[in-house]
Amino acid sequence: MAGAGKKDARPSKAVLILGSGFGALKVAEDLSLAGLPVAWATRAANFLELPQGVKPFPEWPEDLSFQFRPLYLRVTRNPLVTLLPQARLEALEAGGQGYRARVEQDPRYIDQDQCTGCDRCREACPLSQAEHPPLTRSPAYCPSRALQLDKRPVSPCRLACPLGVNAQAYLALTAAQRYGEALAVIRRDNPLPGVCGRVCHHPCEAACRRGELDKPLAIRGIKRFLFDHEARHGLPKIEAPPLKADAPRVAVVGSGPAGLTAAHFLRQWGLKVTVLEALAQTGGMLRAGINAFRLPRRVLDAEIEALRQSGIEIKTSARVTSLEDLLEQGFAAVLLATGTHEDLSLNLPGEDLRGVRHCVEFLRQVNLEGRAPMGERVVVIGGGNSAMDAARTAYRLGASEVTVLAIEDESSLPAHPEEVRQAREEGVRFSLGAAPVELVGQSRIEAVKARPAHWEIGEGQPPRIVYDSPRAFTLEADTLIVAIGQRPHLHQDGLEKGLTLGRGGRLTVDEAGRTNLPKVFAAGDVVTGPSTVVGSMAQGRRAAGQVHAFLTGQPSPVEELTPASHGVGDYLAIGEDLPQLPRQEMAQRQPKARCRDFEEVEFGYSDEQAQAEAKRCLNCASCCECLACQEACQEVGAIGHDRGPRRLELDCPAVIVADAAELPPALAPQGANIYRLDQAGHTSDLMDVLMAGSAAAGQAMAVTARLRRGALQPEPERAPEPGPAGHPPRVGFFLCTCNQTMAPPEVLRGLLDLAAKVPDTVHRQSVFSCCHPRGAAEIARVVRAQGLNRVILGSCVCCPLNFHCISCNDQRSRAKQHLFEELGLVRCTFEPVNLRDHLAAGSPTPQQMMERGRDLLRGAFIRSRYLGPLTQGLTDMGRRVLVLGGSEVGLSCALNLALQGLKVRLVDKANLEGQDLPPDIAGRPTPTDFPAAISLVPRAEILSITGSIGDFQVSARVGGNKRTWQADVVCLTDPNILELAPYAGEAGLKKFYRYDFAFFHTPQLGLYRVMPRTLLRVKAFEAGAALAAEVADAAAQAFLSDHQLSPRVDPERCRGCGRCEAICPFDAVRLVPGQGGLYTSQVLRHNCVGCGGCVGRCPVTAMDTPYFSNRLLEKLVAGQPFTER
Amino acid sequence: MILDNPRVKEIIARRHLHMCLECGKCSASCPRYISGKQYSPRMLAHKLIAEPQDRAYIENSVWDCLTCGQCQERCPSGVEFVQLILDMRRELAASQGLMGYRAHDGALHSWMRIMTSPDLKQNRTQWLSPELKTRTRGETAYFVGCAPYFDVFFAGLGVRTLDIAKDSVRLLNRLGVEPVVLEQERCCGHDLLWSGDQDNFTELCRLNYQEFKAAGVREIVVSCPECHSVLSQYLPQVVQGCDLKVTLLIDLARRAAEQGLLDFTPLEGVVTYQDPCRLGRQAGCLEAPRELLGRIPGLELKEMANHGLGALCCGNNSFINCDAYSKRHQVERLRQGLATGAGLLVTACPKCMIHLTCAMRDPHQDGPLQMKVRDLASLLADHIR
Repeated sequence: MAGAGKKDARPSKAVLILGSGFGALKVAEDLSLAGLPVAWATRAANFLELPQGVKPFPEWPEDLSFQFRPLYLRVTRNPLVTLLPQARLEALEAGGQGYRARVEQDPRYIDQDQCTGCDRCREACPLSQAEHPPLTRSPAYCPSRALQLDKRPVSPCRLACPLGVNAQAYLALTAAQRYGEALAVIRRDNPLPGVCGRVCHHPCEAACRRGELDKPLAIRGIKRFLFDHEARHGLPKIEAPPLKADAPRVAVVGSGPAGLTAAHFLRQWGLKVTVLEALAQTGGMLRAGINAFRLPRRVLDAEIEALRQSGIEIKTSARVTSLEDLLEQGFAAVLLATGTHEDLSLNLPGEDLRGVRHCVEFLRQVNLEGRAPMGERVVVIGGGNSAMDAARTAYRLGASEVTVLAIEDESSLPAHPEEVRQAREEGVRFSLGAAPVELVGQSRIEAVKARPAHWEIGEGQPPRIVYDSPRAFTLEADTLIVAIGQRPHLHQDGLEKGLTLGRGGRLTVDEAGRTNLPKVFAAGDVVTGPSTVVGSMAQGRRAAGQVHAFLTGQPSPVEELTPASHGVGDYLAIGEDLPQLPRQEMAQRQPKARCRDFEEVEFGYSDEQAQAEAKRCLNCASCCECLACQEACQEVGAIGHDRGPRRLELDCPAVIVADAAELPPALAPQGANIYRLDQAGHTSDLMDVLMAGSAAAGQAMAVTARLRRGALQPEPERAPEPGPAGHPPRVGFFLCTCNQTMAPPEVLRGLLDLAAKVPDTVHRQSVFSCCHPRGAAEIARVVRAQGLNRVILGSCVCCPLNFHCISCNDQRSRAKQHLFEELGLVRCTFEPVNLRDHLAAGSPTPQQMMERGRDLLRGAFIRSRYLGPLTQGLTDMGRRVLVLGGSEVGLSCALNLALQGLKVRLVDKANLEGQDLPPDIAGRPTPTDFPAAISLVPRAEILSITGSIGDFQVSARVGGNKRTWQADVVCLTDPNILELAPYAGEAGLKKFYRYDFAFFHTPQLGLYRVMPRTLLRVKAFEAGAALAAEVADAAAQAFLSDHQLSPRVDPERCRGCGRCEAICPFDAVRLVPGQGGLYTSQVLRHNCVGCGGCVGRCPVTAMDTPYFSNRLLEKLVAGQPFTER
Repeated sequence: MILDNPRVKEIIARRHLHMCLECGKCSASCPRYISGKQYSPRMLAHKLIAEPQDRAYIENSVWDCLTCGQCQERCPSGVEFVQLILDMRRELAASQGLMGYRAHDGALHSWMRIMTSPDLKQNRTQWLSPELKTRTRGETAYFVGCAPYFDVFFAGLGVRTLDIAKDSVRLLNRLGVEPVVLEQERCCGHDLLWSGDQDNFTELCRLNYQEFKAAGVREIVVSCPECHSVLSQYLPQVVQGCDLKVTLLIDLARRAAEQGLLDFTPLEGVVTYQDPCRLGRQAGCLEAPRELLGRIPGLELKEMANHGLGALCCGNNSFINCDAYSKRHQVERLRQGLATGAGLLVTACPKCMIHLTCAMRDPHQDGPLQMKVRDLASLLADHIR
């Protein structure tokens, strides 16, 4: 079965309700019960959130929603109600037969129609213990176990990372000591975490919002920690999908960061990749340009080896000299990522003196060969990271004095401040704000002359050196290293042939990363000029995406993150009470010792440091998108981090505004059929809101009657079939594992085994979830295939009844809706047993759980023997309404109902037998312009009202003749006839007011009255509409089904003693003449709430509730169904 | 089939069911049958003998009987129908676990079974006040019965069954007896016996006998006809070597009155008397109550239409089978009582009092059924001169 039931079915026409709160709930209840489709949209996450300024009843407890659970479920479960929480009205235009509305709903990252509330996502979430856990119980379908996910816009660290590595997620996982998962999160976007953990220039840290509070997170340090931790424990293999034989081959030229990254993603997407490296060793600039004391070779080697293991072919000493040749070898595409390995020169005389080296060439020699000739006094020209590397390398090769000569001042050095600091610690001197003007020396360099200078940056022009003083100074040197930049070296291999080159010999590419040659793509420094490791990697990935798109015709799989990519709202606020916490400093070797060798300078974080640092994260986006929850929810499929907002367009014949704040003034069109709860009356307390809700619903009904759908087909009364004559019942046992959270596997197995010990059990199995559409469908399939006629369902569902009690919730009612209403299984053949709430309460041992399970199942299996019909029948409603009294409320009600298409008889002036009409009523003029649907009786004396809903008989004297009218419902709308309503005892009233919001009800269902208090509060017209809405709820239904817990009476036993009648607070039991001159008890099913008071009171068990029969209870106490077969 | 069970055959033989002439006097006099219930002693006899395969009928009917003994009284062939029912119930309960349909959801039977616990600690003598002279050891005991329990359970009815016990002790004191009242007395087990639960009945008998012996009791005085029936007739069947003497309080009172030891103050007015089945038809005690009532000056006894050996049962027995037909039957009995013009209905069994009072509770009966009901012992004690 695809999808989940009703909530996906979007109505095209519905009455639109805007806003949350009880007024809106009342509107939704009235309209849906009257058979009208409703779309209920609110910005709130919770339909019960009270609009501002409304106070609940003073005598009610604070947790209002608890009181309204049954009503709330009844409304939210109604197939006619489409629920749109966290949705905004975007447009509302008059048109057609009403309005055209556009509603936009925030992304539903958790589908509440599928969420089983198993809580495995919360267990998986690394932020469950955070101050603002992203996963919480959702109030939207309250009461429900379903969860909601708080996902804010993409966090700044992740946005700042060119690769979009999800720093927040791996910080959260690190804080939770889930290092492996954390590293896996990095690897989603970055195949070189070890490299980046050391040499990345970490733009994420610059963006970190913690910087506003104290210091940014040491994100790079944590990345390094994670890699080192894993490296110590054996790095996991990089998994890649199997290669298809016909997968296209791609050549990546260059094994630097761009090339390796491109190769990795191409391989991950199923392509054959060959990396061609001109040098004898892999890594490109990572190896040739970055020193081992910054990036140890074991780290680089391990990462490249892991990539090789994932199925990437890497060839070294494979210098490419012709692109045509490559393409002829069968490569479907070529990606050039050759980098910038040619040094820029000073273009000063003397640059060819001995002792003058150029940085890339110098570092390459040191890094690949392990040594290089070095003098005593060294000058490095340039202020970038390479210059720092060269300077620090010079010390390690034996130089005694190293000076960096750079044109920039301290604050604008291109090198990372950390590099500058470490160089300084190791003794490197800086001569800043000056540029060389002359290289002095005979055959060998002896000194450098320099003059103070600075960059002049003109618009649209390359920077120019401007000398500040004619005075030159001299730096003595026997070795000079020129580190002023690099450029592509394509021409060295003759590769530039046919390619369009730009400034500085860089390759020119289009938006899709294509060069001017077909099938040839380029990425990395060769395109951008010297940049950063992570920048090159991002280039590589982007180009790989384009290559993939080119080869497969699919859009590029690379997602470019923007703040709006995911999430809703703003970043989590930085609380004022959040303490400042120092950033963890990394231990490092002493400068004196470290500058003697090429061993790594920094030691990395300890476990404790990494965790302490990770815990500083502010979780800007709330949900960190580590996706651990999605994995836990795989079978259920309720979680989707990629979901976007949804848009719904509706034709609305009427719009009801429960909260004015939800209808932006700019959107509010002028016109009829927009009803505002706050305008209908006062909004000082809940009673007014509810009355206003009913009034709005009633008015809306009058104009939307054409939308009314045929009443729901009631479930026919059915009893469990005993199976073929003479054959035992076929019992099946289904055990809902609640996505494997119900109990440990051994307990689940034990419970299934237990079922095998019950005679007649022909089937037993576990289901991953019975409230999930797929789980329910599986149950239905098996029940039918196996011909089961008794089903024990071990889950959280506690009864099979078509009914919501105070204990019911979303999941329970949803399971019942799937099984019985959508899949058509027979309700009364099911015996659900609530294992979920009882098995695991109080953390028992598996043995204790087994004991409990055995006990609970014992009852269920015994009970399955005594299943019987649940309903006693249906009351056919004929839509006949009798309105007694022509007060303004009565007239309004009658007119409204007539508009709704009901047959109305209105008795304008009515009095009780033997009483006179009060003067104000007697003197009231009788309106004459009634529609034909109202049959008017101007004057009548009411003698009695007997019967019950669907079958009232009203006796009256009209003009001297006695008449009896039949009616389905009766309304008393004049104060002088209110006595006709039965006395509303306190308990009876409580039932109606507290749980049903039914202010017009009397204890006799179907007999309505207008309370004097109501007349004082709202305008008569609205009160009439509200009354009409209540009446329509009942009268518009073709059938009324009864309460499935209402008891039956055995007339053979009933002694007519009247105890039941006396104890019933709901006027649901009456004594009627029976056989043998005795009276016998009768239950008015529609009045009955199923409390069972009468059953307990009956001395002779003449009253019995089939679902809890006395016989059954007796068997439950003593029975034992488990026998060895 | 029921006849396959040799014990059933044996019961049929022992209770002379084969002597049945199918004359139908039993059914014609059966209060259940008369009130419209689908139950007929004659049909049951027929089924047991001729259609034993109709198990459903037999099993239902065996539990439908009131065991009032009316049919047996009328039977010209001497079929021991009441004993037949008792034997059959014991048999069906033992062999098939049948328990019949019990009123009050079986609560009273449950407490009776609870009393089979040897370690039971009851607080059942709290009602004894200082002016009531009793002992913990002695030769003569007064058997209280279930009155303390009924008083709680039926509080809603307003029947004060403990008053019967208090008044009985007052009477005994007046006759010069300071009876032993046992702290851990058990239910006599009548209702368990008559609903077929022989095992628990036996256990109650054994425990009670133990208590009597431990208190040195040799004679037991009882006011309740059911207790009397059990202690005198059924307890000796299950307790080996039982040597207890069982005396009815009214017999004691009658003897004392005859000896001039007991005089009564006047009570002006008409009263009528309800014969308890276990006292009248089954123990044959028809004269003593009437004679004692006759000794109250000014009291005029008017018999109901059915009285003496033909008296109508109070409508229920052993707290089983209470239903709409019981009610009809009880209403009939109350109407007979009201028809005598009596202001007071006297009975000698607490259960008659409970059942008839319960039947008065009816908000819709045409004409009031209300009638004052008192126990004979209470009436006598109130009028001791």
